[in-house]
Amino acid sequence: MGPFEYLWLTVFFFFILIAFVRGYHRELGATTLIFVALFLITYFAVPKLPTIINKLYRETFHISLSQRSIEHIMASGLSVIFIAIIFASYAGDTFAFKGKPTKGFTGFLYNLLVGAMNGYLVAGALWYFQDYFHYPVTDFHILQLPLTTTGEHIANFLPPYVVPPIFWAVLVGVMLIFRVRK
Amino acid sequence: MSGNTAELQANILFWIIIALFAWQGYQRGIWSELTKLAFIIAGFLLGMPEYLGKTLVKLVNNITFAIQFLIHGGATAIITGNFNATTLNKIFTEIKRLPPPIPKENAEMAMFLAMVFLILIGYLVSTLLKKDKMPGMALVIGALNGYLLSIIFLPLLPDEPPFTFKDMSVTGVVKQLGELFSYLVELLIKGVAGLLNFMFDTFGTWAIPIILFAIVIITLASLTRGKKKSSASSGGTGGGS
Repeated sequence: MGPFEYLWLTVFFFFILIAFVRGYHRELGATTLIFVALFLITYFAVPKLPTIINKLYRETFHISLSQRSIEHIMASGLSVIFIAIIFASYAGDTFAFKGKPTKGFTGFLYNLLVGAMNGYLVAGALWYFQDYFHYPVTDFHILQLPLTTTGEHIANFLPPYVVPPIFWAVLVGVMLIFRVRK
Repeated sequence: MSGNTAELQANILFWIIIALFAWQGYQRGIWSELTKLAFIIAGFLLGMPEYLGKTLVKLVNNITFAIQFLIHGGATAIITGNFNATTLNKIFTEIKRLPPPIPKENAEMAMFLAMVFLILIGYLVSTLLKKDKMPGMALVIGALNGYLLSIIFLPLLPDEPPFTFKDMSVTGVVKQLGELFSYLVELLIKGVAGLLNFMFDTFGTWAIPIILFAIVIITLASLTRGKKKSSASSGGTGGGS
């Protein structure tokens, strides 16, 4: 398989296309759930879950999990949970925002911005689960390391690395205020 | 020859911009145009170093300096009332080492971006206002807005025309249109890259949270109009995937 960032770019552009098809007022609903997921994952799951998993495993099987196994469980588990949340945010009745979306060039620009933001958040979070847990996926030979220079550069700007966990909660708060106002 | 062409293109562009803004003013109404005018003037004043530009840069740097003072122990000193020379000296030595958010080499870029930002905000705010009467007056103010924007931005265009059609045959025009498209894409990429570089130079990794916050606020604010109509069709839990 090719460089890691190609996969990242594919997911990124895919979300831009989705934004153009659905319109940014609906995409912002998905964005809200992405923010919620990122807050829960970066504030609770990433710092606390490895210890809990290890403890539970030790209590049950009386043996400790290896560091690599924990990394596998965390990266795969968080990716599956995150994808499930994204899927839920798009499936069935969605959390769309009230209001008429802007048309014309400004509307095009808004679709592009929101699509790019969602693409960055989703692709960036999935990449982060791999990067933070030392790329467990490479053990299955699905993707290969090392990253290219561009890949290494992009990896420094993955959302959970550059946005403090509490900021996701602030963004969720702002979005909820806009959602409920008359 | 190319210098004359550039001048001619700039003149044509000048009148096109004025006509476009006048027409937009006629459509949008007087309050919308007056709002735009106020933001353009404010943006112009902030964008020029000889007016408010330098003050803006100083203000941003000083506010950051004050925040850094509070973060690096100033807040504790104020709360506890511990203003002894050693503590204050230590705090000032620490914060003096930090680079200013807008260094001298980025000052002009910061002023320019502040101007563009204010003009864009003015445009967005003006779209939120209801259309009113006095279209004639709005047309004149719209033309004035176009004139001001022309005198601000047209001098920034290069002296040489960036692109001219030389071969007027069908294949030549098609080929040159392709070249023009790639030129415009390259220009767009350069512009976005320049803006991002500036943001990262100024705010560091905080640039990304700031950009995310700005996108969320701008797009959500744009949804306020036509609320009733839309809430029936796409609001609530409506709007499937």
